[in-house]
Amino acid sequence: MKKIIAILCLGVFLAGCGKSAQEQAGGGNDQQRQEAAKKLFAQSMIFLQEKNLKASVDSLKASIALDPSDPNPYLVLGQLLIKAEEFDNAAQFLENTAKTFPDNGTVYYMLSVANRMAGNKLPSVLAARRSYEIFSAAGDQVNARTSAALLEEMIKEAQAAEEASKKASAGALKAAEELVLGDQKK
Amino acid sequence: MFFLLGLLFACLVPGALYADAAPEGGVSSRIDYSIIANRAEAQAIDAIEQGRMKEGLAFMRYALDLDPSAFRTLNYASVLFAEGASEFDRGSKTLGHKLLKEAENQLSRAIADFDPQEHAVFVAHAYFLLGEIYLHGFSDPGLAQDFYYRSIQYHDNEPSRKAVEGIRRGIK
Repeated sequence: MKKIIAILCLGVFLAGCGKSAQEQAGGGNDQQRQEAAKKLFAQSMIFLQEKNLKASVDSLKASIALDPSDPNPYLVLGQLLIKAEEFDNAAQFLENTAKTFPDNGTVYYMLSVANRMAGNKLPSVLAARRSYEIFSAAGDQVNARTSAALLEEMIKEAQAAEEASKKASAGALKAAEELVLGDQKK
Repeated sequence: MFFLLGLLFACLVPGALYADAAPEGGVSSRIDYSIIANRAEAQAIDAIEQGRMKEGLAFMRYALDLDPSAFRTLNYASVLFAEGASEFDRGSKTLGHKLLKEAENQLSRAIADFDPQEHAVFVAHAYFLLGEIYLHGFSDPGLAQDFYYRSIQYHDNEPSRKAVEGIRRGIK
């Protein structure tokens, strides 16, 4: 498991390095590079199906290095980090990815999920809202609804937490009052 | 060519791209991955249309793992069925059999997950595919007929009716 996490973490450092990777790969035919990157991405799916996570992650990284302009391999890497419960790394990775793809609603949706799982409430809400805004502006009502549902879940969670906190505070206050009153009676 | 591949692709459920995309409200710890599952399924269809079946299957499997809805399961089963049929046609009986067996498992799962009233058309299609698998892949016309009948019970599935007529006339 540690090995898997280490492999996935390597993916984190790759994110946000899109431009330098592009520069490194520069000079070749763009279309050929994009085709090769697509093949690597598809190959990563086959490796995943074969439960060969290391090979899959390697293919995803290679795909990103060849064509940093395709968000799909980034999204799969982010999802794999979340699946490996590397929530902080996933959030960091997707935060960098969002810088590369500032108008991609799916990237922000995944960033929101990662932050939510990492316990970063405000960044999670902000990312979900951004995701909703992007999908809505693009007229993608289906995905906008999914983002809205995520946002709604987080609001409900926050309300439930606040309610629980209020109850806990009221309970503590009551206990303190009883303690003081008890002391006064004595 | 005993399998109705053309029919199969016509029957890939386009609505599945968006199935379960808008969950009901409420606090849930389950992550809704339908957004990226939809992307993966779109890429699967793209790969299949370009004849890259293995890649298509891998994308579909990924989408299904992320968001295991009945629609996605039926789509995945349909592609497994098509690939199994192709392997049979190419003479790879063992691989073909393995793929059809997996298609059968997925179809059974889809049938169990569908709402039989609301999604009768899809349940009927799933039973039809099971009939095809048993008739052509597993050479069991008796059980195939049973599946075709079940298909017709759910919905007036014309291919199932024709298949039953074919079995009665002794034609595969």
